[in-house]
Amino acid sequence: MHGRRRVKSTAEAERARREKEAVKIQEYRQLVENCFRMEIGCCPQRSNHEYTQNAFEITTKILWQNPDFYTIWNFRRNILIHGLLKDAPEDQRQGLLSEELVFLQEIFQSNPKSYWIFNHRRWCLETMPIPDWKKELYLVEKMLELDARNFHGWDYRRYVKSKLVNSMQPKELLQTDLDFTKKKLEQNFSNYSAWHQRSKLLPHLLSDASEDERKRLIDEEFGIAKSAIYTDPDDQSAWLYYWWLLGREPHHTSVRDDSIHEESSMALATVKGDRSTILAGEIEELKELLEEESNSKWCLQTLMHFYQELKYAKKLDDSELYNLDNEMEEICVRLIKIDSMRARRYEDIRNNLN
Amino acid sequence: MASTDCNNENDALEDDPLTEDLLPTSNITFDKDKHVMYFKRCMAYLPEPYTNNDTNRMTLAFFGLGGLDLLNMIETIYSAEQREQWIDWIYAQQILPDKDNPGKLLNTLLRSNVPRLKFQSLRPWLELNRHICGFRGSPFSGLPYSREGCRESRFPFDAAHLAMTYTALCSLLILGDDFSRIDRGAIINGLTYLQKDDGSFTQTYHGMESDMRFLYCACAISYMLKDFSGINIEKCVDYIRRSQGYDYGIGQKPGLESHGGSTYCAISALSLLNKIDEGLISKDRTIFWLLSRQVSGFQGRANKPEDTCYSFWIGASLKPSFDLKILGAFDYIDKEANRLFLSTTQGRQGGFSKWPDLIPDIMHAYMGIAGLSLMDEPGMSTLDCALNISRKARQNLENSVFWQGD
Repeated sequence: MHGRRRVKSTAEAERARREKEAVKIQEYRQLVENCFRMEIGCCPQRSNHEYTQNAFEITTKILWQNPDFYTIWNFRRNILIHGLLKDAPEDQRQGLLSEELVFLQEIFQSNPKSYWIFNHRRWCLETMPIPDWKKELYLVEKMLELDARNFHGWDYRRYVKSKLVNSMQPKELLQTDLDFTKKKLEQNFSNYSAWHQRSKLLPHLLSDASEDERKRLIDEEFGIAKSAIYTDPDDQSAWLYYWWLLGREPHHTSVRDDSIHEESSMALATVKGDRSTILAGEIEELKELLEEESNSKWCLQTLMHFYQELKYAKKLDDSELYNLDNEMEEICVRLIKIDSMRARRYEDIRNNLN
Repeated sequence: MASTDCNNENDALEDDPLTEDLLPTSNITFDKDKHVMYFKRCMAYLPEPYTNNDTNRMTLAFFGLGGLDLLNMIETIYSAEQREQWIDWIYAQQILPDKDNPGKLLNTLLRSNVPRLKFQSLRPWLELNRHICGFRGSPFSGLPYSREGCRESRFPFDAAHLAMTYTALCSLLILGDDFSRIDRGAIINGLTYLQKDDGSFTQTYHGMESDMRFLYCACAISYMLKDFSGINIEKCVDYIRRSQGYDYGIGQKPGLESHGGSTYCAISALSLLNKIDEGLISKDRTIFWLLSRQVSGFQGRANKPEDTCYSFWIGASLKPSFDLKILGAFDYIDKEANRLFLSTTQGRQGGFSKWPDLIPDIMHAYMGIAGLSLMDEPGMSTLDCALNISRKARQNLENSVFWQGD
């Protein structure tokens, strides 16, 4: 349905295709009917259930064609729980569920975004006597190599990691994550998912670290972000991560705590000097970058954002405010030209300057 | 709405690669008639590749009906009799409380303020099938057809699905129904079984998916039925807050990257709950995230290709709804660029596809039409952004039984 290429076809070919489809539809319907008959029987007391190998194989056939038919996954689990796995010795259960994992891997190839496949995988691993979580981590990382933006994969990776918590030291686990995301970023700085992961990791790492360790981690983090920015000034992922590292003044209108702000202010709290000094320093560096990359929309937007933050971070006197507003106005004018798609927004900002 | 002559000329130009770049954007037209034909075909027959969506048939029907509704063609194409038949089909998917369910008194007790601890564990047993009430996606469980819905509890896996309930309600409104056959109490009660501790909702009882999509569905259902007693609003808002990322976009769940679809779901849910200010950490920054998704059309996540459907997900997040102000920054987008992109994903026989040169599908066809409606395309109805239905359907909601003299 999604993403099928347009292909020219003759009336003859069309007819043949429809006939073939009709047969497939009929076969599929028959399978589903058989399946339901076996599971439900005719009796509300459910004594006619067939939790047999035969029923199991029917679910396999259906799921090959339609892994999103969630009812059939439920049947399959019931067949396993009440039939095939029931009273089986440990090694048999291990074997059966390991085969399940192989089956899942096979249908995953053509359905990399099916929730149901991931869910059944979780169920298998949680049901089997000896799950191999390390192998599972390896598998999901291999998958993310093929599709680095598959958020099902990233979510599943976090789940697998949470299972490894008992067998690995928390620090070791965090380090594995840092290494993994760093690797993904080195492969491709546009890996938004990897930046996102890091924004979740960093606060955990910082909370346990010593003063020196924290400084080292923050410096390294700034290093990675800036490296990405200088390599490709047009890539928004790195810029937005850089904004997050610099944090935000709590001037929002929400009633409750700003958890995002708290996370990143942990980052900044460890850097020596007050925030306005840090911002001023970053602003100087950005101006230098701007000289080389005068058309970098993100460089300009970042400057404007930092000027705005500076206004909140420090009480400015009238002349400082005036100068700042002038700079911001000039940036708006440049952005209206460079990023005409969002011109109206920049005009709005310009009009709101004093 | 465009004349056929104009279209032929444009078609010829579009086919010639040399003149493609020279097409002035103001000459872009969207062939309403072809889109109407596309949806009509889909409503009559969906080919084999849609088979694996049979359990979601209700949502496919919604896309078809919704598309035709925005094109103002429902009453033109379909007779009152046909519309009644469809209304009946929808109601036939309603799972109603089992006739053997304990009576009203016990039900009241279960939902009262009496110390609930000892009742909670008994609830599923006592309530028989109350945890699966609502709408299913299609007759996939094989029960006999009845326009009265069904009161069976026999089938253990025949459960209502939040997205199907939501699209069933929307489709009924589009077809002009007044909700008089809806069992509101059963649906709202069913919601209480679906919300997890973290505030999110699973799609069915004992379901395994839980993310922003179903939170939105639960809020939209509560809003349309004018009854929020089935959901814990505080927890909903909290889940949304925690799902915001460092870029102020919103992910499917806490920890996942910001995504156009989930951002729409979150923002719309918040506006239906009237909790925009509590739920969004920074409206400004979220607006910035949304606006930054425009490439020509819109992308769903940073550095991903544009896709027709995000003209809706992102656009509807930015645009104010009729009486509910969402973010109000829609005018900041570049409408011509958006139209230009949509013209490249328009199918030659109507409908829209996700990307240029792909076969259209019914979902993207609806999204393309909705995306155009947001930009006030001539000949199209206005969209209520938070509920994702037309102004007319919204009017039907306000005339429905739960909104009139409650």
